[in-house]
Amino acid sequence: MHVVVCINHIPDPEAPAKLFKLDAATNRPALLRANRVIGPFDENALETALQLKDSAGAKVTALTAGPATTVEALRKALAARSDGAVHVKEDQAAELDSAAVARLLAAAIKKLRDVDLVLCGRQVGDWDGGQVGPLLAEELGFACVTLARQIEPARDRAVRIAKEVPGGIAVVEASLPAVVTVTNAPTNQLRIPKVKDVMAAHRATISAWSGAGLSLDVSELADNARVTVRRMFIPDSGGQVELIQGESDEEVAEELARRILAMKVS
Amino acid sequence: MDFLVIELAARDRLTSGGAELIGGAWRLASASGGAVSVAVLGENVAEACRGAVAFGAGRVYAVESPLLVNYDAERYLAAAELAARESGASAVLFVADAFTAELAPRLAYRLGTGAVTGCVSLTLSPDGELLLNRPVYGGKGMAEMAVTRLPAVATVAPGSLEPAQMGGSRQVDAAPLRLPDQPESGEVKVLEVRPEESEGVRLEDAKVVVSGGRGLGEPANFRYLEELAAVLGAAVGASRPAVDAGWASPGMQVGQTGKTVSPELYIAVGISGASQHLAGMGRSKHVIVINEDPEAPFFKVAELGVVADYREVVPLLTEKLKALSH
Repeated sequence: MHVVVCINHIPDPEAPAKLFKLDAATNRPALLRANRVIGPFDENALETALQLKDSAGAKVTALTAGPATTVEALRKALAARSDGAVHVKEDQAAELDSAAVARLLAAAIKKLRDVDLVLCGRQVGDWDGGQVGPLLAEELGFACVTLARQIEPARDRAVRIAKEVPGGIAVVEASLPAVVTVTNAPTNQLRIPKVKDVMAAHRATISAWSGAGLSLDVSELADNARVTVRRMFIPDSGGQVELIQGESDEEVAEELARRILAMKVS
Repeated sequence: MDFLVIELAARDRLTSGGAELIGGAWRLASASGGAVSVAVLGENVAEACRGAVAFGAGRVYAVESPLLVNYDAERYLAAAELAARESGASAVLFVADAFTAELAPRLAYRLGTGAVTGCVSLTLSPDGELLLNRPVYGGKGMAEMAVTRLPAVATVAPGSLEPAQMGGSRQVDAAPLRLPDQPESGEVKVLEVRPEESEGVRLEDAKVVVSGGRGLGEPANFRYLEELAAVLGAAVGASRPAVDAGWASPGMQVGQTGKTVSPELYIAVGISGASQHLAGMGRSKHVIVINEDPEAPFFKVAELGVVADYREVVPLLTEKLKALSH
């Protein structure tokens, strides 16, 4: 089984809000000081792929589209023992809408040819649209399953998936090839790489492809965006908290209890 | 501008989210000289169709079929596409949930257009363009988005829009649309659907929610929260890091990628207050934060705060509440 994991290299979603600024000229986020990390749900997808490698001998290829720096995310995927990595090197990738990103990634997946399973995080931790996975399934004509917590190989070229549905969990069987988006679960937290694998990943050569090499004109994709941002702003962070203080924890708890009862909520 | 609200009648009646979308769509439609249609898709749609009329839908499409069960995405997609094409609406709206997160982008693809997911408000620009507004970067920013082709497809987070008022007295008959028989594609077979196991009060329905995060220090300490919750008749929630650590079940997760709750009172214990978490509880009426770290960002959105070791304060609070409410 050949598993392709689509990963993104994004400003750390846990970075403090004060690092989030808008660039006045472009009206786009300027997050120069935040570290870049693999999207948290992309990590869950990557771990799921690596578990399929451990349990079923799957071959794992990490795939990303983005500027030159995005290669760091691929090196992390290699350090965690992905078998290969493909970088669709395009500076404009971060400005594309989900439909255009899906076209770009689908073209790369087609070029890889023998792909059985494509995994994505349920959403990228920056724009959180969650659309690229389902759109990839449409582009590729693959089966589509979203919000998987766990994926196991099944018989007859299929995978068995536990996935979130409104109010519960569904168990489904998807025939391959398929696109599956992965959500977080205690069982899919990305493993810590070994030092020797980190060193090997730094020396690895990573295939660099381009939109043009995939017969796609990226600036045309950008110009024909289906979804566009008209304006961005930073919302008010709210009011002032009233801290409850006292001589002792007992006093604090008593005052807090009185205040809760005064809210008449239960 | 004409709107189509697509309601998935999983529970045989119009959902509160559906009523909110009709309300939001109706306000924009009246401002722009348009109409609101509702399509109800499901196995049994009659009750939800009546609800849509009562909430003021101008036209109702009923797509009723025994094939529309068990979150079969292909069939629901075919039904949604049928309704969207039939209505000719300029905007197609869904209530955001774990199922429509998949349906909306795929429907947009099939209609040759684009989707915006997880919107929290809909507005019209001065020149009449529909703006779909949503949080980005975990709520640190807000973006006003537009779809450049018709129809715009969007999912709207439940609890975001003012519901329509009941009392449509007009007689509107639901127009049935026939879902063509589709041979089972067999690509995705649903083997089993089971409700999320939850003890006590359901998070989404709870008037009071007590949530814990990694600041609890260890999983067993959720018992302090359970004891407090029991006194308050509250549901217990958790942050994503607590779920990832295996301290709480995934069904307890509150946040942008977990449950969205809007209780009367939300008590956060040992949660730092990452914007992803705040996105799931931001519409709570009262917020109390208990955290040892006075720098925790959660304090910024709280009404009341306690900077203390929760291991001391929470059991005392439980005791005092018991004593005072007798």
